[in-house]
Amino acid sequence: MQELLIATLTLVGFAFVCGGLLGFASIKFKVEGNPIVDQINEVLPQTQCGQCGYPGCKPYAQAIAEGEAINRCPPGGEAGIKALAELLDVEILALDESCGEESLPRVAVIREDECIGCTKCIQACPVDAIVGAAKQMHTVIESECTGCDLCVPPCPVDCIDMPEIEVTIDDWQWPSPAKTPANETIPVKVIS
Amino acid sequence: MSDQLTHNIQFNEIVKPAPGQFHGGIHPAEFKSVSNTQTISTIDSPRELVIPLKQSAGLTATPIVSVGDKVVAGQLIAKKQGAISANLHTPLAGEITLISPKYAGHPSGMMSPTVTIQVDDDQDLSNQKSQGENLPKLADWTLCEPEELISQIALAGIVGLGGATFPTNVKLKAQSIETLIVNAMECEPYITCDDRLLREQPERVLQGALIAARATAANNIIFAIEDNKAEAIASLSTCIKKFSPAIPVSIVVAPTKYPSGGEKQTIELITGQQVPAGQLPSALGLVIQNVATLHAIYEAIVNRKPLTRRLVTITGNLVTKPGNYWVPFGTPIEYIMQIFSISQSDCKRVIIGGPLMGNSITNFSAPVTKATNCLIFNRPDPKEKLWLTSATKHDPCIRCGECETACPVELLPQQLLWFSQSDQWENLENQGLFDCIECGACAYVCPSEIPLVQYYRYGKSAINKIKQNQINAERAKQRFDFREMRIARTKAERALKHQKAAEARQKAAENKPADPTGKQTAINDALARVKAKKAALNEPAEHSSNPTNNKVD
Amino acid sequence: MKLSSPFFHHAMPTQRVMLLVCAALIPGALIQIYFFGFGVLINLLLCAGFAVSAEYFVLRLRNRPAKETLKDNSALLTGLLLGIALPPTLPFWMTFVGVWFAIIFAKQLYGGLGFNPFNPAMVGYVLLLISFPVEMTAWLPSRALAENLPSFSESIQLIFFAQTNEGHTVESFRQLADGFTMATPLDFVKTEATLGLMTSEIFSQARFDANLSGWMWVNAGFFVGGLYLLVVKIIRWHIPVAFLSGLFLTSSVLNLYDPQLFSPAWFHLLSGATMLGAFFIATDPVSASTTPKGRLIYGALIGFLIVIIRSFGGYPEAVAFSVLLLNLAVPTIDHYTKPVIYGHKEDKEAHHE
Repeated sequence: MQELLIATLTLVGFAFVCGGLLGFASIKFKVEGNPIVDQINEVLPQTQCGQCGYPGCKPYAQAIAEGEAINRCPPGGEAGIKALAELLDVEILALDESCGEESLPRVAVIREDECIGCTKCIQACPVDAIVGAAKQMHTVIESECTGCDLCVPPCPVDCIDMPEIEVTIDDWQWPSPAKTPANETIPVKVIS
Repeated sequence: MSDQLTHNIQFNEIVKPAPGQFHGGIHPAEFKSVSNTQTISTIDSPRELVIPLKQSAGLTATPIVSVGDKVVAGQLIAKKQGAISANLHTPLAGEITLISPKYAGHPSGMMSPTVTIQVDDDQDLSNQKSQGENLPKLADWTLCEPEELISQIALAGIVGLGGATFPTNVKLKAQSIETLIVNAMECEPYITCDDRLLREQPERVLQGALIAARATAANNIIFAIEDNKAEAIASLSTCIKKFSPAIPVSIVVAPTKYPSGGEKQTIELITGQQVPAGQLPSALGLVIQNVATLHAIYEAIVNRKPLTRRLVTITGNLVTKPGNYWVPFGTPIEYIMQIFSISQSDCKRVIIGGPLMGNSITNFSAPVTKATNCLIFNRPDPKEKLWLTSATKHDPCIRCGECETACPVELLPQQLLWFSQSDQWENLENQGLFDCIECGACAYVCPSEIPLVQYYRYGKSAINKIKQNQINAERAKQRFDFREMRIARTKAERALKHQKAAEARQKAAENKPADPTGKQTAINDALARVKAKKAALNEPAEHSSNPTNNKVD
Repeated sequence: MKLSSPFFHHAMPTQRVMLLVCAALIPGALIQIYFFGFGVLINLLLCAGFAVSAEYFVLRLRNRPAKETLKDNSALLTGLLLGIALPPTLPFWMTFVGVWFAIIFAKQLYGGLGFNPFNPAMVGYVLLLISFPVEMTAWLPSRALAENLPSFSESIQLIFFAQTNEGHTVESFRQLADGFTMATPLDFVKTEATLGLMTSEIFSQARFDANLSGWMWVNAGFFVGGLYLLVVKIIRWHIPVAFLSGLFLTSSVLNLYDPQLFSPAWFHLLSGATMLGAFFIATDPVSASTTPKGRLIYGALIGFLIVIIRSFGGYPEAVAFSVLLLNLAVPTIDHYTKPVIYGHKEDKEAHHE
C-alpha cells in the first residue's frame, strides 16, 4: 500500500513540476503577434487582387491563420496551394472554382486613345501601378502591374485589356522531362 | 582509364606536364581525325547574311542601321547595350533588307531580333586584303596602355569564342592578374578549330596572348592543352622559342579527358587549386582566354579588323570535305549545307557545337554566330538510341553511382535527379545545382539513359523563375503597403484638418471679446434710446400740458 | 519538346547489367547444384518464374507497361538471388510466398525498380526465415558428406509433395549413417559451442570438415563471379572490399581475443553466404549507399555486423539481417558522406561537417 502511495505521489509531483515549467515557458517566451501570418503572407503571390474575398493578401493570410481554407487564391495556383499545405501541414485541396481560375500571368494595358482621364482605375489599383491625373492620360507601368484585374470594372469606357504576358526568348524555361508527353524522343548516338 | 598521358609528348623547359587533376571525367571517342588533317580554308560568300543581335552574354545589341542602308565590310551595325554586351559588325558589304525577329538557333525554337543583309555580288572572301572599314589605328601595342587595348577590343566586338561568348573587354578588366591561361584544351569530340589554328598560325595566337597579358598586366602565360594535339604542341613550342617573348610563356599538357576544357577544370589541372564557389578565376590571379579569342584580339589590335568571322569545324559523316573553315557571321546553315552538298533529306538535324554540350536543331535557317565553333552533320544511324524523355518512359535511376564517379564538379547527380523530378527546389539548391557546368558527363554514363542535363536545366530555370517571382511579389507587397499607408495618411491628415477647424470654431465661440468692432454697442445704444423714448411717451399724463421744450427728433 | 545535350552515350544499359549479374551467378550456382543436388536448380527455376509472374501481376494492377518493365531483368535477378539463398528442398509454396512477398512488398509497392530502400531478395529471405525457421534451416549436407543427395525426380517430389514416392522426407536425406542430422557449418559451430565445445574440437571433427569443403567451393564460385563483375565494371570495388575487410578484421580481432570461442577469419570468409553477400547482395545499387566514402562505411559495417551476429546472435547466418540493418542506415550514411563540391572546400572547413 505504501509503495502505491509513494509511486502515485511521485508521479503527481512530477506532473506538477512539468506543468509548472510549461506554464512558465508559455508566459516567459510568449511571442507577440502571430508569426505564422507573416509566413503565410510570404507564400502568397502579393497580387492584392481580392479574388479570395479578402481585401488584399495580408488579410487573407490572417484569415488562413484563423482557419480559412487555403485554396482560395487563383494567382497562387496549384503551386501556391501546395506550398501553403506544406507550411501549415494540412491537406492539399483543389483550387476553389468560385474564386476564379488559375491562368497565365497577365498585365493590364490601357487603350490610350479611349482613356477619358477619370482616375477611377488609379484609385482602384492596389499597387499604384497606373500613372496619370484627372483629365490627363492614364497608363499602366507594365513592370509594376500584378495582373489583378481590379482596374477593369471601374473604367467607365472599358478601355483596359488584360492580355497574357508573353514568354520571350529571355525567360523561356526548359521543360521538365518528368512532365512531358511520353512520345517525345531524340536520337542519341551510342559510342561503343 | 587512368589519368596518365596517353600520347608521347616531348617535355622540355617550355612544355611541361600538368601538375593537377580533376575528379571524374569521361573518355568519349574523339572523332578529331575527321577534320584535323586539312588546312584551314574559306568558303564562298553567301548571298544573304542573317545576323542575330544577341551574340554575347548579357544584353542584346541595338541596331544603328535602318532598312535600306548600304553597308561596307567591317561596318558597325549594332552597338552594345550596357556593360555586358558586344558590338556587331557586318562581315560583307551589302544592303540592309530586314531588321526583324528570325530563328537564330536558340534551343527553344523561338525567334530573336536579327538584321538581314543582302550581300553585294562582287565579294571575294578568299582575298584577305583589308577592304571596307577598319578599327582606329593604334600605336605599337607593346607601348599601349591597357585601357587603350581593352577599348579597341570592345570596339571590335570580341567575345569569348570558346562558346560562352562573354565580352572579352569585361573579362580583361579584371584586377590583380598574375597569369593568363590560354585554353587550348578543346576537349569535346569532333571540334578541331583551335588545334588547326595553333598548328598553322601559332605566332598570331601567341601575339594575341601577349596583347591580352599586357591588357591585364599578367606576368606570365600558360598554354593549357590536351595531349592528343602533339603537332599543335610542337608548332607552338617552336614558335615560342623563335619569338622569345618578353614574359615567360609555357605549355602545360594535360591527359585527354572530357571536360578538361571547362574553365574550372582547366584551372584545377594547371594550378591544382579550385576556384572558390561564387568567385571568378581572378580571385586566384588568373584569367582564361580561348585560342580563337586571342587570334581575334591579334586581328583587332594589329590588323585593325573587327570580329566578323570565325573558324568553324564543319564535320560529320555527311560532309564530303570536312575541315575547318573561316565562316562569316550570319551565314545561314542551309547555305553551308548547300555548298557542302548535304541534302536536307539525308540530314535530319545538325548539332551546333559539340555532341556533349551543343544544341541539336532541325530548322536549318539558323545562322552561324560567334558561339558556333562546330557544325556536325551526321547521317541518322540505325543503331542510334531514341532516348525517351518522359519520366514514366525512361528507365528509373538505379542509384548505381556512375554519374557521381563521372562528375567533374563532384556533385551527386542522382540526388539532383530525385529532387528535380519532385520539384524540391530547396533541396536541389543545397545539393549544388548551380555548381553544375552542364557538361553532360553524367548522362553519358547513365545505364538507365536518363536525360539528366535536361532535368538540371529545368531545375535551374524553374528556381530562377521562382526567385524572380519572389522579388516581384516583394516589390508588389511594398507598393501595396505604401499605398495603404498613403491612404491612411491622407485620411488622417484630413481628419486632423477637420478636427483643427472644429476646434478653432469652438475656441472662437468661447473666447471672443465683448464687442470687438463696436457695432454691437451702437446697436445696443440705439435700442436703449428707442426704449427710453417709448417710456417717455408713455409718461406725459402726470405732467400738465406743459409744452416742453423737449423736441423729439 | 526541346531535348538538351548530350547526344552521345556510352554505358551498358540497365537490362544488360542485370543480365550479366545473372550470368555471373552461374559458376557459383553450378557448384552449389553439384554439392547440394538438383533441388538448387529447381528452386532457381521456380524462383525465376515466381518473380517474373509476381512483377507482371503487380504491374498490371498498377496500370504500368508490364512487358517493357519486365525487360529490365531486375525481377529475374531478384528471383535468382533468392533461389540461391534458399535451402534446396524447401516446399514450393514457401518459395512462392517468399518470392511474391519480396517482389510485391519489398519492391513494387515502394514504386518499382530504383525506389526500394531494402534489398528485396533479403526481405523475402528474412520473411521466410522468421516464419518457417525449421524448414529454412534444413540444409542438406554437402555431397562429400551426404549418404545420398536426392535425384532430380526425388527433388521435385520433395519440393512439391514434401516426400518422395518412397516416403522419404527431407529429414531422412539430412541424416547421416550414424543417425546424426547435419546442418550448415555455421549452424553446426553455433550449436556445438552452446554445448560447450571449443572451436578446435569442433573444427577437428571429420564430418564438419567434409561438409565445410562443399561450402568453401560454393563461396569460391561466387568469388569468381564477383571478380568477373569487378573486371567488367558492373560493380565498383568499394563495397566488396570494405565488406570483406570488415568481416576479416572483426573476425580476426575476436579470434585473437579468444581462439577457442570465436572461429578464425578464413572460416567466416568461406562459409555461409559471405561471398554471395559481398559481391551480389550488398552491391545491389538501389538499396546500397551511393557516395564512395559511404559505400566503404556501408560495406565495412555489414561485414562487422555479420561477424557479431554470427558470434553473439541467435541466428547462425547473418548476411540478410546485416544487409537489411544497413539498408536502414543508408540515408544517414549518404547524408554525412556527401563529397565536397568543387569550390566549396572553404564552406566545409567553415561548417566543420
